Amino acid sequence: MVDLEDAGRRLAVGVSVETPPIEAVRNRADRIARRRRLAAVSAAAILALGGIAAGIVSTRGGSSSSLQVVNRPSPAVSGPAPTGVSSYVPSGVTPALPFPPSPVSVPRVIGMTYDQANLAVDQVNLGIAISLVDSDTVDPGIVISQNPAPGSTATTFFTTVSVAVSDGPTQPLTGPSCRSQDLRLDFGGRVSEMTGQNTTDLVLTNISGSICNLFGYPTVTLLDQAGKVLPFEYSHTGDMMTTSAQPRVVSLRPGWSAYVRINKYRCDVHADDTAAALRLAVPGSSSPPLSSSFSGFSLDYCAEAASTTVTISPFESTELALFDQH
Amino acid sequence: MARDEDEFSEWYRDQHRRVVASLMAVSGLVDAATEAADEAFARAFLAWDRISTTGQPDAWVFRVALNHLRRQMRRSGLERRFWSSQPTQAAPSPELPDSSVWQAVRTLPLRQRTALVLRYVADLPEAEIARAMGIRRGTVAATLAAARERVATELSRTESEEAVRHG
Repeated sequence: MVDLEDAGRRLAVGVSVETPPIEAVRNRADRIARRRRLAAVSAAAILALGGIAAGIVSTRGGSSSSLQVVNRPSPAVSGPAPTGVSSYVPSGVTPALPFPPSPVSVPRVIGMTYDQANLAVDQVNLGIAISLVDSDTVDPGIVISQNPAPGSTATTFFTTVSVAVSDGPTQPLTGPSCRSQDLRLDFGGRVSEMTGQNTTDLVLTNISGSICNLFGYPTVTLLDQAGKVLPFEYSHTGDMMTTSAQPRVVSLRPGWSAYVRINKYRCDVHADDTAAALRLAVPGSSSPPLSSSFSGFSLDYCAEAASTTVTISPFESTELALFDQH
Repeated sequence: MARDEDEFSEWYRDQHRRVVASLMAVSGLVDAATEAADEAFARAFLAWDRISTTGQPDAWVFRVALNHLRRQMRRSGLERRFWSSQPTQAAPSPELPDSSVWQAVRTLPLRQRTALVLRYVADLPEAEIARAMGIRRGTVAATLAAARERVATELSRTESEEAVRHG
């Protein structure tokens, strides 16, 4: 007869799981507390006004699909950061809310990048809903229009400002396919990942003097410190961080950038190796691939089933379009 | 406040690995187990004032973690595939000790499996298992007895199959 006591003890001490530092617990607790307070604010708003909605809407290709909420006014961020266990509001007690809502003038965000627009709207405690719209006159990633209009009066925590962000030209621009030597490869800003996901965005900037086009997916190869190719599998199906949209032609005027996301699930138990650099080849280009070393970011390699596949997005005109669309 | 946090830290460091190991034994999924444990400990951090005075924070964190694990499974649609008892399913992880035992445990119905894991991996007394699972103490004893018997049967069955294969 098997000794379950012994087996249980061996499992409890033998499992190779790293215990995250206490700071990680505190940060996560902080996020939960914020979420609860936000839920309380939303509930109050719904009761008062009959509902608020915030989201991103993609109008690409004529069809409209809801993406994810990018930003909502979060009253918690203005308060002092929680410092310890006892500073949290115990559950069951209604937290103090920055109510009542007050009138505020809607800032002008037309002409800003969507990051700037997010910030400007958040600073006055309004919500934002973003839609991606093709545009022949406004550069990709720039706000084309907004509603309510700049200067009109809105109500903090209740009003959502809808902004349309350019997703690039309606038709591909005339020009050849981009070759490696037409492009500069940079790493994009860090992405706020879901638990366990390792996400990084790549930025390909047209450094040639003329228009070129990208279509499809780059061929990405990840290498370890010693330059050895890591045996990852690559997928184009999208995942919880990465769009599953079909590729579209991304036209790059000189100085414009295209974006690509790479994402994988972390190694839970043990990392066998770590990617230190990547090579990226663009479709149809016979020139040597672009390459770059990781800095401030790493992708672990291990043979764990959920962790061997790296998801690659198609080329996109804006970083916003890289997100999972559902 | 600082003393509360010290007390929490000590308990957390003491229990984290045990909670993850238990959830892995119940679900067979490393990532879901880790995620559920992380969520449960963060919630415990928020509720520490309350749960530390009950004297049973272990049962509390297991209950929250098991609920979160179940929700994750349901949400991801993996529940049908991973949660139900399948004799052919893999043990929690190939590197784990006693994989044949945990493989046998995975063949148990969910309630028996959870009770057994909470008893032998989480090392909870029956009263706390009852609290963690939201069932009566008498039910825990009966469930554990049935689970032990079934594991023993399953192990002797696989052992005799092995013997036939190698004999």
